[in-house]
Amino acid sequence: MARAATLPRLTWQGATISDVRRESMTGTTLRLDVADWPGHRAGQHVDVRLTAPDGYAAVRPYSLASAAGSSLVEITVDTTPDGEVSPYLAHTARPGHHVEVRGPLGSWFVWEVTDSSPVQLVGGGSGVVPLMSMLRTHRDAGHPSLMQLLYSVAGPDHLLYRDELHQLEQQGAVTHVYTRQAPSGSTRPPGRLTAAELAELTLPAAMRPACFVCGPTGFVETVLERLVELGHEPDRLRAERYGERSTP
Amino acid sequence: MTDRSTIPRHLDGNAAAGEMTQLFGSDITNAMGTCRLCGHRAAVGQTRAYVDGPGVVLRCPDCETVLMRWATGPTTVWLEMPGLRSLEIAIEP
Ligand SMILES: Cc1cc2nc3c(=O)[nH]c(=O)nc-3n(C[C@H](O)[C@H](O)[C@H](O)COP(=O)(O)OP(=O)(O)OC[C@H]3O[C@@H](n4cnc5c(N)ncnc54)[C@H](O)[C@@H]3O)c2cc1C
Ligand SMILES: [Zn+2]
Repeated sequence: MARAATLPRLTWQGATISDVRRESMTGTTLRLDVADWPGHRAGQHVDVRLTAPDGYAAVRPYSLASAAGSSLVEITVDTTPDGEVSPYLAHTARPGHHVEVRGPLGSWFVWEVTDSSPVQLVGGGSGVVPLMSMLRTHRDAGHPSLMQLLYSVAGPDHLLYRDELHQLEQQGAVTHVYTRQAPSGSTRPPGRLTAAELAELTLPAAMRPACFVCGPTGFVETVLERLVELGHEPDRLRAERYGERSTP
Repeated sequence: MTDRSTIPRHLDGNAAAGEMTQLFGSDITNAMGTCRLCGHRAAVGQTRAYVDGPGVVLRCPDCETVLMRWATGPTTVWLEMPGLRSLEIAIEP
């Protein structure tokens, strides 16, 4: 009998955690040292593999948070309670620990610096991570296009990239919506993003912005549906669904 | 909109980029696929990806037809493309 074709195993690369920064009560940014990192595009992710001493391995995708064009490989992991992988990455991982990665991955959910159209980013919870890479890439490049972010987050304790986003908020490029707990002094009561708010806080469809939507699957579905209702053309929308999360 | 509450929550084909790079030797999330059943054209990265089963299933975002599915065993990968009429892959200039 003829032998089936054989596939080479895709190489997992060793990565050493070189820096750990707490971002929020539940979220942590990890800097990874990866030999011969080819560079990435804003919006891409890596697969991270953890292997237990008994050989059991778990693989999860994590978006790259660092700017494209920087040589930094950084991911930000928010804790999924009782999860297999995220509690380790968000709480236990320390500089010097090793994990394995493959990537950079994904050519679909990518913002290219060569794109001159206006950009609307909409993130829910940890869905802000790849959008942060886009904002950083845009900022570092001094990019002329208009780019703004609408960020839906459970509460101030869950806010990622607080200082950096605060600066961008001052420039009018970022709006926060709190779903569970509003910061003191906020006039808006906590609650999910409404259709009216989405219309008011995002670029109008008439500008034909490229829209990038990322977060828990339910959040992404709702936002996409509403953007289409607001007149955005479906082919201007790109989405990255993270799966289910209880605290968008 | 159809009620999808009974269907398990999906990801996008883009999330399976690592698996597909393993299978095809390059990242095909930007390749355009056409559904055999309804003719819908979408990037592979835009399909609905169901990853909670024993393998990965990519469905048409319009009619839910199974475009591709694969399962990885210890020594082989079993790949089916029942609902995929064509795949258009750009070549780097
Ligand atoms: C393309 C892509 C990029 C991603 N990027 C990031 C990122 O930058 N930062 C980040 O924190 N996460 C990101 N995620 C989510 C991440 O991959 C994991 O799903 C998440 O960390 C939970 O993994 P776990 O092993 O801890 O939980 P699991 O052990 O997989 O799940 C534990 C429980 O949580 C539920 N669950 C499954 N998936 C999720 C989810 N996504 N969120 C919450 N609960 C879930 C399960 O149903 C289960 O009940 C991304 C997902 C995708 C598809
Ligand atoms: Zn179809």
